[in-house]
Amino acid sequence: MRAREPDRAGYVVRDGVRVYYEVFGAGTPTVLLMPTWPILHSRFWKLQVPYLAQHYRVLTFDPRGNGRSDRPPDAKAYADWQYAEDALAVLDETGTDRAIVAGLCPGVNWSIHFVTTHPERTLGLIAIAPGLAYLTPPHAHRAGLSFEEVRETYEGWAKFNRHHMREDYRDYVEWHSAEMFPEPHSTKPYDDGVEWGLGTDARTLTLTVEAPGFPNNREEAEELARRVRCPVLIIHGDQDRCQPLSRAHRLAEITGGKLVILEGAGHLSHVRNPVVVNMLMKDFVDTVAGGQPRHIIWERAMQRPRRALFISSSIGLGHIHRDLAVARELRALLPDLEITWWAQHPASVVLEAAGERLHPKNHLQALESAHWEEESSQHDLHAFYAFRRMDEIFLANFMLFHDITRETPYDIWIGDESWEVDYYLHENPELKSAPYVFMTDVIGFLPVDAANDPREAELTADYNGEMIEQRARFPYLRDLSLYVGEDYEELPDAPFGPGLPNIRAWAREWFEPVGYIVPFDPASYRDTETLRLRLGYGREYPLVMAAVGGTAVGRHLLRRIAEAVPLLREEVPDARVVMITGPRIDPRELPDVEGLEKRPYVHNLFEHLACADAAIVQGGLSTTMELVAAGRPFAYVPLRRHWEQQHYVSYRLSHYGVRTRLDFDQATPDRVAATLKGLLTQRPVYREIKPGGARRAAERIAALLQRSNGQPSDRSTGGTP
Amino acid sequence: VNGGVRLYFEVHGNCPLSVLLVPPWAITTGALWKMQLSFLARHYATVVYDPRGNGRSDRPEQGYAVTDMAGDALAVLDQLGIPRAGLLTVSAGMRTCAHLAAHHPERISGVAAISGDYYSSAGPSTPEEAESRRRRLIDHFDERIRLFWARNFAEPHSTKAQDDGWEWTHQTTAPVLAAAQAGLWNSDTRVGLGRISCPVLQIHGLQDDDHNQAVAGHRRLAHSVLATIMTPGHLPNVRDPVRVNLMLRDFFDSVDVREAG
Repeated sequence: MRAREPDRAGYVVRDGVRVYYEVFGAGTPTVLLMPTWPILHSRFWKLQVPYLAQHYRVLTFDPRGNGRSDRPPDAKAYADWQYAEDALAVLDETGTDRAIVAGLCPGVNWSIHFVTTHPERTLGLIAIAPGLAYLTPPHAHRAGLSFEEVRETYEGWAKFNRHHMREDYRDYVEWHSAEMFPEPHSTKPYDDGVEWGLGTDARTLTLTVEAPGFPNNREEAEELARRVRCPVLIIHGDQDRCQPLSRAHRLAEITGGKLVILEGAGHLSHVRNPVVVNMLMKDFVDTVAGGQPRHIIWERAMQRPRRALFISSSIGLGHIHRDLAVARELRALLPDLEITWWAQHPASVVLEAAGERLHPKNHLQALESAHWEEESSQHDLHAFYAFRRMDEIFLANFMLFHDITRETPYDIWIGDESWEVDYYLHENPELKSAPYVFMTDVIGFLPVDAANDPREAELTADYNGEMIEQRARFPYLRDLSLYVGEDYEELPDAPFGPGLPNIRAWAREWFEPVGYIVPFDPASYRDTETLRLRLGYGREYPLVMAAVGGTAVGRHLLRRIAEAVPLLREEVPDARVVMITGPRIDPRELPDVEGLEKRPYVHNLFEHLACADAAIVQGGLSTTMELVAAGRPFAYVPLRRHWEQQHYVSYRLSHYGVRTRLDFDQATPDRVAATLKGLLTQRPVYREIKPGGARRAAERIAALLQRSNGQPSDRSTGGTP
Repeated sequence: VNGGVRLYFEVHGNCPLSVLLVPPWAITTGALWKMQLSFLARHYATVVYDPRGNGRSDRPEQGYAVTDMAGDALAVLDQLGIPRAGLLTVSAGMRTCAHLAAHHPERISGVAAISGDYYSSAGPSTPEEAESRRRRLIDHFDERIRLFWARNFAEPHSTKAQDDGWEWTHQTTAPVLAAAQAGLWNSDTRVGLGRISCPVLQIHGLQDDDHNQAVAGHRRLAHSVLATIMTPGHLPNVRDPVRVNLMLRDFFDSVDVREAG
């Protein structure tokens, strides 16, 4: 799922060539993100669009030659000035008077064509990795290579050759994408680059090389640059393999523009270093456009109340109850602490019901739950790939987090599996401006299908490796790393990947355990009869609960369970099944069956689970562990190819003595009915979950805000903070 | 020198954009900017001068109209050959700046004002009251001045700032200060607000008596940013200098870019 969908899209047509454009947001001014060489298309701005669109109006268009624009068969259609005229047509079509124009590589050349031929439509120019040919000599590794020459072999930049492109286009695209990203751990941008490159072909790219262009020598290049009259920002990575840094220096000299050099960054620096580039772009737009009345409020530090920002990044409803439990304990320890929640739908529904204070900009976040639903089908969710495809959602949400924490200074940031905050803080450690606590129950990725999908094994190892390197390099970034678990034996006994540490051993070194956190005291739910009366269920029949968490991913399982109800009632005629569909599944989507009651949402689901005679649930950690805590018999059905449910939750549940796992393929209505019938007669014995997890977590967090050593009162062991 | 009055100035730093620090009135010297000077001088050619009536400038017994003060600022710019500058001021100095921005727009690229006011909201209503307040200032000079700075630095733990203020004011005399105060009571620059086209940043304490003036100005100015500081104080440039300095740099940088464009 895209982090931000366009508000409007369409085509402009010039000389019969259709060019596809998109419009995002409604702020001022307008920022026009120019296309670049058509080996990529407009999605190469995907990490900029959501952020900029929150502040300004953003236009993008696909270059002629890729994306949803035409691929005209004529070299003249790809002349440098054609792209500038396409830009003008897009401005006209969208009713845009003036814009700040941003380009990359040849997109800078086209932007300069635009701003010099249409200065009255221009507010400013952002030039990333300026590809103004001839302005200075090319990289040595590109010098003297001919696009036309037939060679025995094509290595390195010699691959930029019409014969090689024609003979092995895929090789060319893969090489090109790799060359764009010298930064380590760039597998996702690399994959995107290959995918977009395969959106066009060798013939089209060859036409772009044959196209007439300007400038054609150094004098022309200097002359073109000298005609720029607007404010200029130039951004260039010093590891750029495509364009030499000298061109950025020279362009800055001629235009008087501001030059920012990103050390260690490659050609597509805005993709691999999106946070800093977005901030630079925003600063520039704000200073150039200025002028709009704005009101800033700043509060003297000593008169601020103590404020915590609780980032509950769970997808669905997984962690919200444990986070509320920690918040309750924190308030008991620090009564003056104001807690503001940064959480998405559907967790925000639970928070509202609990009367908690939600951040007013919560709703601006790109929705993670919707992304996971789109990624899933038939109880199948390849969670790692889905996680990986969230890159633009994570970045969009991190930028928003950065904005809101600049607007309001908090005394502490508490993140429960706040992956986007954690990852981008490690990528931009200078942005940390408060004590930061990270808590999680899952540590690392494991492949779900290593035998058939070696790429998955490589990628999970790469992601784990990046996390391990980030922690080692910036250990101070987290003031606390809390592991939500009693014992590292609950984690898989496996390495993070080839040559990487063992998960348990690494977790022991980098986390401290607080115990498992259940949002209630199991002891107060032992009297199931009273509980059933209180919740209105009555006592005189076998009660089965079915639940699939907060997202709509569990829809297919619920359907099978509904089909199993009549079969169960053939054997146990008075059995009744209560199905909690969750806030994102409409109960009307599921069949109406005798003995089945469907409810969209219940507050405090765990109470309902705690008084069931049997339960069937998805493999989410929180719900299954709540059933363990309540000592109820239950079966769980992990999502297929969900690394966390397949590995981490299963390990943990078997550690606690849970035996009834059903795989979705086996979970036919017959089998579900038979399993439930068996469960109704069981009295399971589980390993005890020690109470006080929320309290221990709160004590450690509170210690960061008080002058005390903060050692937990009832334990002396712990990991490295 | 403006109209025979000698004005003492200093230039700090050597950068393309000039920022002129406009003093509020004779209540203080240019030392008021001590928390800004070294920072701003790293980024701009920063010009500071003592107001007529205090510091190392002359102390005329009259001539404290807003036009006199505006003339002083122009005289300093002219002397240094600065064609165009950003202005920074506090409090009643906003009247000087508003006058300059309205009547000499070609010389002014932007105005940043800290707790600026466009008129005296608590001036005397009759000549008799004016006279009795003048006498009170002269007869109880030390006490009035101590109260003045206590009110301006109302933030807790402001003893150093209050002592500084007391010393700055004591570099002039009670009759000179009384004359300067009378000049302030008579100046009102609200009329010219609509003529100001340059960017204006107003930083203002929320609990300050004249915060409403900043809000009203914000509504009428063409290019305005209002930064409200939750503080009981009047001069956050002294008591919250870090945040104020960062805001000032953001503002003057944006003015700089606009000039370049």
